[in-house]
Amino acid sequence: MPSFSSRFGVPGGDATSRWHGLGSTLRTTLGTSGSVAREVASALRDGSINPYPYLRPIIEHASGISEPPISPTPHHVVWTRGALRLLRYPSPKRRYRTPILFVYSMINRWYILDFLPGKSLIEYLTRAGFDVYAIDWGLAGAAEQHMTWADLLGTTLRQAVRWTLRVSGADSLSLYGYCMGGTVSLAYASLVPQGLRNVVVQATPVDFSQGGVYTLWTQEQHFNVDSLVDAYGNVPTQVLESGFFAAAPVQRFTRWLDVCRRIHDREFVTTFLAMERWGADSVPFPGEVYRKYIKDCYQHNLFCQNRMEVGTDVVDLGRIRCPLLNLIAEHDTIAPPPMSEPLPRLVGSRDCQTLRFPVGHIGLSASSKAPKQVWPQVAAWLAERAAPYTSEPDASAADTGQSP
Amino acid sequence: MKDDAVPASGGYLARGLLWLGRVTSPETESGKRFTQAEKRLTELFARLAEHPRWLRVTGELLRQGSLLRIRRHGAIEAILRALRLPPVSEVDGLREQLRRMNDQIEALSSQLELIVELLEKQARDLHNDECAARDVPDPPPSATPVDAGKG
Repeated sequence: MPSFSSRFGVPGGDATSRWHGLGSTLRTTLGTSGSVAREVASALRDGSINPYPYLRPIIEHASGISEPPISPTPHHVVWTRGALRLLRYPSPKRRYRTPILFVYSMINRWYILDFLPGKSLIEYLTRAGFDVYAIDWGLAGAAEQHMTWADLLGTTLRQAVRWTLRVSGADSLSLYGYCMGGTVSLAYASLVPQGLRNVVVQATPVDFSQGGVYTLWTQEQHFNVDSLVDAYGNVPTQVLESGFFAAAPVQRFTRWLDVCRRIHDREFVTTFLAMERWGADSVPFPGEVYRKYIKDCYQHNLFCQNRMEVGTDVVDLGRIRCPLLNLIAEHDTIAPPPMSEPLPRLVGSRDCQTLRFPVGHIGLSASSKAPKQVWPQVAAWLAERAAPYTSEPDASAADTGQSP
Repeated sequence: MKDDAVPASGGYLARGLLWLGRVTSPETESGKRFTQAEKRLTELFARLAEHPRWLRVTGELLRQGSLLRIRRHGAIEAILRALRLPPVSEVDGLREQLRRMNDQIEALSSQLELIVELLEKQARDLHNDECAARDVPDPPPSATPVDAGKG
C-alpha cells in the first residue's frame, strides 16, 4: 500500500520536513481551490450562459496555463469614433502600397483575425508585406444605439477607409469583410466604390434564405425584433449568446472534455482557451443596425435581390466592379455555403474568384489548416492585385509604421 | 507540445480532469456510451430547435422577458436616484467614457505624428526644390526637432 506521503505527493525526508511539505501542499491546494471557487462564483453572479467563465479557472489551475494576450501582433490605434477603433498593424517589411482594411462582424470581436502568434491571419499578412488595418467595433453604448446603416456605411466606414488611405499613403485599399462584416463590406463597395481596389469576403451571408436555423429562428412569426430593440436599445450579448448556444447546446459543454483529455498539452490548452474566450466575448449589437439587418436581410432577403435601401440609396451588388474574392468554408453552419455561393452572379466584377476550403466558419481564420491552405492563397490573390510599394527614403519610417 | 510541470496545486485537479476525459473518451466502453448519448441528445435538440411550438414559445418568452427587464431596470434606477446614489448605468457610462478617451488620446497622438511626418516631408521637398533651383549641393542630413525629441 503506498504511503500517505507518496500518495499525496509529499516529498520524502524526516518526519518534520514531511509534515511541513504536506502543510505547504494543503495550503497551496486550499488556496487555489479557494481562488477557483471565487472565480466560478463570480461567473455565476454574472449569469453567463457560456460555460467559459465557469470552466476557465478550473482548466487554468489544472494546467498551469493562463489566458494568452488579446491580439498579440504589434498594433496601435489610428482613429476612433465612439466605441469604434481603427487599428493599424504595420508590416515589418512593407512590400505592397495597397493596404488591407478588415471589417469584422458586429457580433464578436475582431481579434479572431489576430488569434495567437503563428496562428494569426493579420500577422501572416503583415509578414507577407501588407500594411494591415482592422476595425474594432468596440462595445456599443448609447452613442451607437441609434446608428443607422446609412451612418454605418456613409460616415463611419467611409471615414475608416479615408483614415486607412491617409495613414498608409495609398490611393486605394483592399476591403476584407468577414461574416456580417462581409455583408457590410459588399454594401459599402456597392454604395461607395471610390478608394476600393479589391474586395475580399470571407464566410459572408449574401442569400439570407439559405441561412439554416438562423433564417428559421429570425422569421417574423417567431421573432419580434422591434420589441427586442425597443426594449434594450442595443441587442444584449445574452440574447446573441443564447442564439449561438441553442444552435449547438450539447457541444458547448462536451467539447470541454477534449481539453480534459489533453490537460498537459500546453499548445492545445492555450489554443482551446483562446478560442473559447473569443467565443464568449460577444459584444452588444448596435440596435438600429441590428433591426434593419434582421428585417431586410434575414426576414425579407432584400440584400441579394438588390432591394435593400440604405438612406436614399439602394444596395445594388451589380455596381461592384473591382476584383472580388469570395471565400467559402464548406463546413460553415453560421454562413452555410449556399448563402455565399450566389455572389459571383450578383456582382459586376469581371475578376471574381471563389475559393472553397474544408473548414468551419472560424476555421478560415483560426485553424491548423488555415496558415497552410487558406492564407497563402488569399495573400497571393491580394498580392497579384496590390500596387507595389516603392520605398521613399524620406518617408520610409512612416510607411513601415516604425518610429523615426 | 507537452509539459508535465503542472503546479502541485493543480495536480489533483488535473488528475481528476484526466480521469473525466478518459471515462468520456470514445476509446473506452463508458466513453462509447457517452458518445451515443451525446449524439441522441444533439438530435433531440436539433428537432426541438426547429419545432414551431418551441419557436413560438421562445419568441414570446424573449418578448416578455425584454419588457420585464426594462421595467425592473427602470424601477431600480428610480430608487437609486431617489436615494441620491449613482445608478449602475451612470457608473458604467463613466467607465466607458474614460476608456474611449484613452483610445482617442492614442489615436490623436498617431494622427499628430502623421501630420508632423507630412509637414517634414513637405519642408524637405520644398528645400530640395530650392536647392535644385539654385544649383547648390544639398546640405548634409541633420536631425529634425522630431528626431531629436524621439532620440
